Amino acid sequence: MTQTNADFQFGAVVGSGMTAQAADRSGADYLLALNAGRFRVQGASSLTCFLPIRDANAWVMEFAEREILGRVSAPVFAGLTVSDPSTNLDGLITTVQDHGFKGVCNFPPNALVSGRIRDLIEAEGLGFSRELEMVRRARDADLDALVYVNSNEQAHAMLAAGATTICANIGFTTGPTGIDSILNMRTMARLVDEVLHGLPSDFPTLCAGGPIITPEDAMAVWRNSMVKGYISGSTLDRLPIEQTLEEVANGFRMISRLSRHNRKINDAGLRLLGSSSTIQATNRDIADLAGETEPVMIVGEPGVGKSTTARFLYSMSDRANQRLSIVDCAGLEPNAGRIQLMGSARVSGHPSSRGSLEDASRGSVIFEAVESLSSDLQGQILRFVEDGTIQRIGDTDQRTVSVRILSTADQTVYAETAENRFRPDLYYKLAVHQLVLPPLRDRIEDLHELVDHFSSQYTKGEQVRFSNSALKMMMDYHWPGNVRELKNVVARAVRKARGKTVAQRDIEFFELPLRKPSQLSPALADPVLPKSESDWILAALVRHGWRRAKAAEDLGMSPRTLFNKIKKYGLERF
Amino acid sequence: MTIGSDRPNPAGETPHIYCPALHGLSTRLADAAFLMPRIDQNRHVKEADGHGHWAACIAADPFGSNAAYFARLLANGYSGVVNWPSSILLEGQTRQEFSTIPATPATEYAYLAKACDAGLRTRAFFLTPEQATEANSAGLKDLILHPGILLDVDDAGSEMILRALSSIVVTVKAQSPNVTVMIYTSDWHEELLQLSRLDCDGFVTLTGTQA
Repeated sequence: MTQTNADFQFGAVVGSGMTAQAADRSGADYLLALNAGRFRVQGASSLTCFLPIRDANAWVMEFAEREILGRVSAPVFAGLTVSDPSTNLDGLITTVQDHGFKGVCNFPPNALVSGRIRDLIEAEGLGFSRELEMVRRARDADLDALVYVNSNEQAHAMLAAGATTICANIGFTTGPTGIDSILNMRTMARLVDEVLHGLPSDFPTLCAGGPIITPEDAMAVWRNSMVKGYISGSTLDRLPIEQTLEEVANGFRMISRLSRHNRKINDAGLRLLGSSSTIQATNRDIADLAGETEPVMIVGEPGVGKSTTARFLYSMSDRANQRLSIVDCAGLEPNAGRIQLMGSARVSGHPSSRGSLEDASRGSVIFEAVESLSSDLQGQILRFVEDGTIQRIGDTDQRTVSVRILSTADQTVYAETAENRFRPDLYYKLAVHQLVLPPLRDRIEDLHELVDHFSSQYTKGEQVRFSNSALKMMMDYHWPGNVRELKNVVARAVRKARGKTVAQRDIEFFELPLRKPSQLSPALADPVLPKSESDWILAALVRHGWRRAKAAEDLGMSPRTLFNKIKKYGLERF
Repeated sequence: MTIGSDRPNPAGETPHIYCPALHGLSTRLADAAFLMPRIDQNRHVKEADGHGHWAACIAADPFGSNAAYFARLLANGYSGVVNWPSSILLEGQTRQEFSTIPATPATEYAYLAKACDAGLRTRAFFLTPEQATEANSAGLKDLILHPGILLDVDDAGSEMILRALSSIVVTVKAQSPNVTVMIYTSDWHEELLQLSRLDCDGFVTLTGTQA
């Protein structure tokens, strides 16, 4: 059955003035002052509401009067228990009126108890029959009655007693509360329809409890049943607060992981940003190598800043005022590449031309991605490196060229050399000095400094603030694309935040499938097992105890996207 | 030994367990007190003078520190603690749900063991031999057998219940000879079952309630 009416009613269980006012501002249609809500905001379980730990009715009156009534615009209902034989119903109703509640609510309902204790309370006339009587007397006193039921029989009895809103309560909220359930949203929708079956179609009906954890869950039940709304309990006043508190607390915890900005280092003119000991050591190496004339090979993962470092070495060298020639080795075709490197002699109709190496004479040349050179070109460059001469293609003359050689390579250069796909003799000629740049994940404490730098580039110098939780999320990421990827992520985040503080939700990673094996579940880390998206999502759900918000955060997708994928792959809790 | 909502009497010679949660309840309804949110049991107990008598405590109370609470009971003159009202009577889905708080016999027995460490005497309510074993495992030697929630018991049923209770006492004592087993009773229970016919180490009699 598919819901067609557009109005969704939202009731909020509130246990404090803070939650009541927040729910009220968000447009809640009902506020329910229940002892369970009060327990939750004090850090206890909802189930504590049944125990002889507080006088439930007196407690509700006390905190509602002090913190809620008169401070909110939504109607407030008092959650009242009638299981105490000494409770005078008329006196209770009068107290509710005097306090200014809109109506009453049977809470905690005896219907949520099972076994002989429930039978005993019913046999003593202190269970559902007395809840019905409370509703009748409330209605006689012109109070509304929002009631919890868990059977169709109870729903119709409450309707007959004059209840103004009926909520199908499918047990306590499961999942993060620790209470397990095999219910999924479709089953929940069916149960809700069974409880509410036969009520007038225009009668206000709500549902609560069970497996509903998120607004998306409530929507799924709403769309698949005839219920008109949802009462949010721990899903509103505890789970989001816990998540937010965790997020903020994590934000504080991560401070110790950030390095302090070392202005002395960065103001000295060195361009590899960062104050970590790793990058400081790298910067010292760069300073040492700047004055060298021997070839330097800069090695590192993609995106670590190899080209930037090579240019920097050039700019700090004695040849900084001379020509710089940059050769993209990956783009050199074997034949055309020779001409590009060595130049060509004059032939009929074509003037002679200088190649990149000759062009850089008395200056520097940077061979980028040198491990990509074809074997022919490796030989050409080896001869040049060995004797410092070049011979233009088609020419017979040798020309002496004095060039400082810098090269960059990713880490495959080691394997390529070991397996002779890259000539070892050339490798050793080019790597007289070697500078290994660390991946971003190994100097993650520099992230904040880099983020500040990149974000100010995108905002023309205006400082953009990143929340600590956003920074923590970025610090927990493994950055397969290194600083280059970080730069892109910052660009997207700054755009999404539109001038406001960049929050966790503004951070998007586009390379999640490349997560480090150590960060995946054993099943997913095993290369033999399938690594489908559904496996990936399932592992995250299991890892986070089916808390979708946490799983979504881990997966780097929005809760909405995760919800859709869970539906797509049929991963609703089975 | 007696149990009831009457405050400990300084002149009372019979050991009494102060359990304010039972106030105003019928004898039968007293068994449902664990799920009746009508009083702050532990606070009432804590603020009363013990006069050498016993305190009935909710082990599942999530607030406060056990150590501070037990120290306060000792300072107020209590000599011992029992786990009442108790989760031992929970059944089915409710028992499963309350295990998440946790409110279980095992947590109650662990609570009593801490009370014992703090210098208080203890007696543990139990319903089944398994619960007795759990209590014993927690180091508790003095137990109180509850006859269970009794609904619509006829003569034949009462005989069967008596035999079952007798069997439980024998089983528990056979398993742990150094254990003492008292039985929870009341005038109403006596009329229904004549529990005093059972061979045990004594009785804990509910007082101040009406059938």
